[in-house]
Amino acid sequence: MKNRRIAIKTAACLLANLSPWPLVQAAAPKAFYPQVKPRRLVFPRDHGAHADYRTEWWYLTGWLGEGPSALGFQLTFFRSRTEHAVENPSRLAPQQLLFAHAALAVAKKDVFFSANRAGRLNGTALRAESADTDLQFEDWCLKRVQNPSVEVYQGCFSGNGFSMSFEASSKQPVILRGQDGLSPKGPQAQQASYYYSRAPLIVSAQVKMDKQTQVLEGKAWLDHEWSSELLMPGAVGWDWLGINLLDGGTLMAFQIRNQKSEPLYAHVEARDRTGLLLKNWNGLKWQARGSWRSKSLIEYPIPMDLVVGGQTFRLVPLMLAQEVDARASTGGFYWEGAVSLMQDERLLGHGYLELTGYGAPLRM
Amino acid sequence: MNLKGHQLLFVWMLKGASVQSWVRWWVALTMVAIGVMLAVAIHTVNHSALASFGQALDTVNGQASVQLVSPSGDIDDRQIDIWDQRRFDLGISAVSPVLLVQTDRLTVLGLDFFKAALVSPSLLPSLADSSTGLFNAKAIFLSAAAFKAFNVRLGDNISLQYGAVPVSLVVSGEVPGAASQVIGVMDIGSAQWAFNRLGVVSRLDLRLEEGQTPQGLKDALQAQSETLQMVATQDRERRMSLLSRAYRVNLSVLAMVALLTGGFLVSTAIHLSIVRQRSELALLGVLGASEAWLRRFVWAQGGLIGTLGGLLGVGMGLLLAAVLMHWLGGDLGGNYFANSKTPMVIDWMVMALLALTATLMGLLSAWLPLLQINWRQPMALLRAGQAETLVFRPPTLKWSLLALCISMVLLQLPTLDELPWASYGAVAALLGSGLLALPWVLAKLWGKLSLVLVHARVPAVLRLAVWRLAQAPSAATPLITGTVAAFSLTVAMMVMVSSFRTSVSDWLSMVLPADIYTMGQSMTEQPGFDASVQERIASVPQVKRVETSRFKSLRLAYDRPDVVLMAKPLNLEDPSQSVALVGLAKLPPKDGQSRWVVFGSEAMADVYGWRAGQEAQLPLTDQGPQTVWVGGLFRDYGRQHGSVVMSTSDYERLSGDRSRSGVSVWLSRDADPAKVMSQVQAQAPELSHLKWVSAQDVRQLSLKIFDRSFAMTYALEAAALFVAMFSVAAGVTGQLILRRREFGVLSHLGMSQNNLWLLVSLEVGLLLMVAVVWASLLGGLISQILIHKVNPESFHWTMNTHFALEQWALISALLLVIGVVTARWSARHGLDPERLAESLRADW
Repeated sequence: MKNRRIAIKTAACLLANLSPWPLVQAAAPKAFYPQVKPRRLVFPRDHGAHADYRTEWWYLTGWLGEGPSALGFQLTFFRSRTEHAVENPSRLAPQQLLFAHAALAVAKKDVFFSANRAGRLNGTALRAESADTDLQFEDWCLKRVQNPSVEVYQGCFSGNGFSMSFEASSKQPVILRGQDGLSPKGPQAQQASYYYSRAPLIVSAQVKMDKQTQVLEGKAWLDHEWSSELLMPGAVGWDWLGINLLDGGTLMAFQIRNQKSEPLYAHVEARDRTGLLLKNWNGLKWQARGSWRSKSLIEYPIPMDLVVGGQTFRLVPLMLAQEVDARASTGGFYWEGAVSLMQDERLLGHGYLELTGYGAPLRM
Repeated sequence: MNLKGHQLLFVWMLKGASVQSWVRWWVALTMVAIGVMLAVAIHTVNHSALASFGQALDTVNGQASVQLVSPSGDIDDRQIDIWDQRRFDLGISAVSPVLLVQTDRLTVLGLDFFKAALVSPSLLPSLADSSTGLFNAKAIFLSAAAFKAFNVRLGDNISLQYGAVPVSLVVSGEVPGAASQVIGVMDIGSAQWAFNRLGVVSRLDLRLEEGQTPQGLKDALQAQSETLQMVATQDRERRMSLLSRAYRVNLSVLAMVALLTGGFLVSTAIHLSIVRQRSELALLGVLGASEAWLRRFVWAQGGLIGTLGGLLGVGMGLLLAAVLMHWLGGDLGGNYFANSKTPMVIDWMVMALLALTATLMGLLSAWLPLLQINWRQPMALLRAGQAETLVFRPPTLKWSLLALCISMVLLQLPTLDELPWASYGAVAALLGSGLLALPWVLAKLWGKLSLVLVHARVPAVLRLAVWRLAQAPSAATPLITGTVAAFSLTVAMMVMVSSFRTSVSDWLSMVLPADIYTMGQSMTEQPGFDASVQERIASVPQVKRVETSRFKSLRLAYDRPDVVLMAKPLNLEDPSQSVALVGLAKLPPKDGQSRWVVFGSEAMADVYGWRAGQEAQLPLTDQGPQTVWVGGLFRDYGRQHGSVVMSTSDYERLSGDRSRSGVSVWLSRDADPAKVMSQVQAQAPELSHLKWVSAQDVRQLSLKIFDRSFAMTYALEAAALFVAMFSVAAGVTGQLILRRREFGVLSHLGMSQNNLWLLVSLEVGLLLMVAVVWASLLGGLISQILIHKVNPESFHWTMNTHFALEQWALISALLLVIGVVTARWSARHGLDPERLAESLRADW
């Protein structure tokens, strides 16, 4: 029994080192991974995987249903390129790894379902196609389908006691982040990623929990980001936020924090329903209004306030217990949850908040 | 201690008995202790070796409860995807592929870490901060024991030899779950590349869904006639235990024999003690001591000797185990577990059980003399001259014949659980039969001899000795029963070992026709070298002929040790030139059909039911078993679990494997082997890591291993001889006490002191001669059971009987001389001339 416990602990330690997020301090030869440089993103090619880059993820979050019975869900595929020798002809060579996380937050029952997977990309049961978004991890999937009238993201995932499949359609063009899709993540030029979002997505989903199937509708958000270097020196984690505003606009913000939880680098992008950039959110500050201690004994700054131009906005979690245990895949714990954006008692929008690096620094 | 009067007397008499004959007590106790010691040592060494071997296996298997393996060894790595898809139907929750690589000094496991985390997490490495990364193609992770064994640190390079190529890897971290075993772990893709094992894995470790059982999965797979074999934990344990079980059981039986002979001695000692104390006992009986009290007194003696001997034996056994493990290794020289440096693991339950056995043995030994005392008439014992009443009533011949019948019946019985229990029983029954017949043999013999002597002119002492023996056969029987038992076992073991050794020696000359060889065994699990090596070696001057061969392990049954396949050039016209055939070759009929001809070792016949001239199945490829023609059976003392020989060309056509793993070289007559070897290595650098040995060295090494594995047997032979000697000395002393009045009369009638001693020596000498002859006869018969039943049944090989006459003559003479000298010495000390006359008066 003891051995098993040690072994599991070891497994956790081991996999904690496998984070898909890249490590700036890594002694990797610079030439191994291509640098992120300004270029025009070309679709649908850039919807697909960019195998040369160190890390890449497709991150789809959403709200289903209304009011107190609303559900939050997220499905994330991470691709990670290791420094394994490219010459290795083995079918099992671990040059490309694929991780997947999924979660379902049911506030009414106070249940948080989550599951994660990890493996090496082998081109059969684990795939990340480069021509278009087409990802598969055994029975989990995320695929972009271009119909004549509308483009649709089809997804599916399942775990212990839950499963879900959905179609998320978009009528809006791609939202390129930063400078035409090149999103700075620090003061240095190479500290950047290619990053675009699809929001808002109109989602319709079949959710199966405890052998009951529901059909639900809602709004979703997709991020696709790839890079070779992301975290600047001294960074221990980041906070990220993506909100579908009720007026049809979107709000995306992130900050990279240091050991003392001070922002090292921050960025905010608000757009109206036509995709036009809005300046009124610039200078946004993240402020903890409370703290919540999870089962893993990590303190998260939730609920959280956003302060901008003398105004205070509240981020109200759908439920508190939305911590993801990713020790068996990408490593460690993080909080990844459905939140509502409120001003006083007025609801402004729904979205997702991601808080990483609060337990231990993101050791990557 | 507050003892009541009779309790005090009890203890006091016990003390008296032990002090009076402390040497006998001590020797009997020692003999019991030796028996227990051997049993304890054998058990502890085996237990330790199996425990550590099991631990090693467990480590390598990572506690996966179910595995899939291929009979031919390799599984195509495309199977991983197929099994991943079949998971849901078969109730498997995860499939973790493992590539097992046996390098020269380290077992390396190639793992898919993500899958292993679900199936065998104990094998996962932990990554050091400064390391090169989990997925670096050169990264290897070592267990703590491996770090120590190779004396390396993180970041060091480590070079492993696999096949012909050295593989250099970087030590990148530790495997915390496998601390005590010397293993290394790598990423499976990196391992495939580094060791050039692209496209294959060794096994698939499975984790079953809750609700699915190994048996359920096995049934499901059988229903789908799956070619991969499923191995559950218990199969693995059985496989491991089978590896050395027969050897272990044989040694344990030897230990039991030692314990039994120890029992004989206890019996003799107690018998003597009763003889000495007969007057005291009788007096106590007359004075009103109950029969039960007297019985208890005798029981107590036996129990005490047994218990003390048992305790001493456990202590000595543990000590011996420590010594043996240090000098012979964990397999007692049986060469079953490679380089096992094993920590001692003591099973205290078994220790207690063995000590208890010794106590029981002591009690049982007391029971025999007790049978012979006539408790009803204590007064009779008080009168002198009633010695004979104390002595053993000889059993009649019918018991002997009954034992013989039992032995014959047992010989017809098959093995039980693959062990020759019935044959062991037959040996015991035959021995019993021989011992029970002894009084009858002696009576007949001395009767005839005394009749003959009536008319012959012989010295009076000899006449007296023969008459005396003829008149009191019951006195002589206990004197030599122990000797016959011990000596017959010695002879049996001697004949068996010498037959075995001679057969092995003959076999070695047969299988080592060339002059120099590469040590091929270590290459069995490794990729071979190119066959073109043969031509290059042939070009070396003074090389007359070169042969190359391929050795490979095959797993014919999921729960049995591997069978070794040997592909070498075969002359199918006359196969006896290439293999040590037992019986005739039965080649396939020339009916135009082409068949693959193979030869199987005797174990193939016993374990897998192969018969010469019939067809059999052999899993040579991934595609399932191949039908082959068994052209004959051969002897293989090197591979107890079975081996198969086929011609290189057939092997190549069937398996597609063109590599070689062994080379044999014939030299021209005046060649210098060392010089040729160095030239061969210069010609074929890929063989430079191989160990080259001359046929002579192989032979010597093999015989050395043989002798080492029989070290225990030799020790036991010596112990048995010691028992024989001691029982003679004890018997003579007892006789002297009982016959004091007789000697007194003889002395009174004018027999000189010297003649008295001579009389005793002559009697003993004559008895021992009969004992030696009878025991040799008995031993010869027992050896035949050992050779023709026990050995083939345990080890699946036969041998030719070889009587080591010189050895036999030597130990016989030794026994006779020492016996007579002991008798004379006992007589000299036991017959005090001053007191002989007194003994005549000692009639109360």
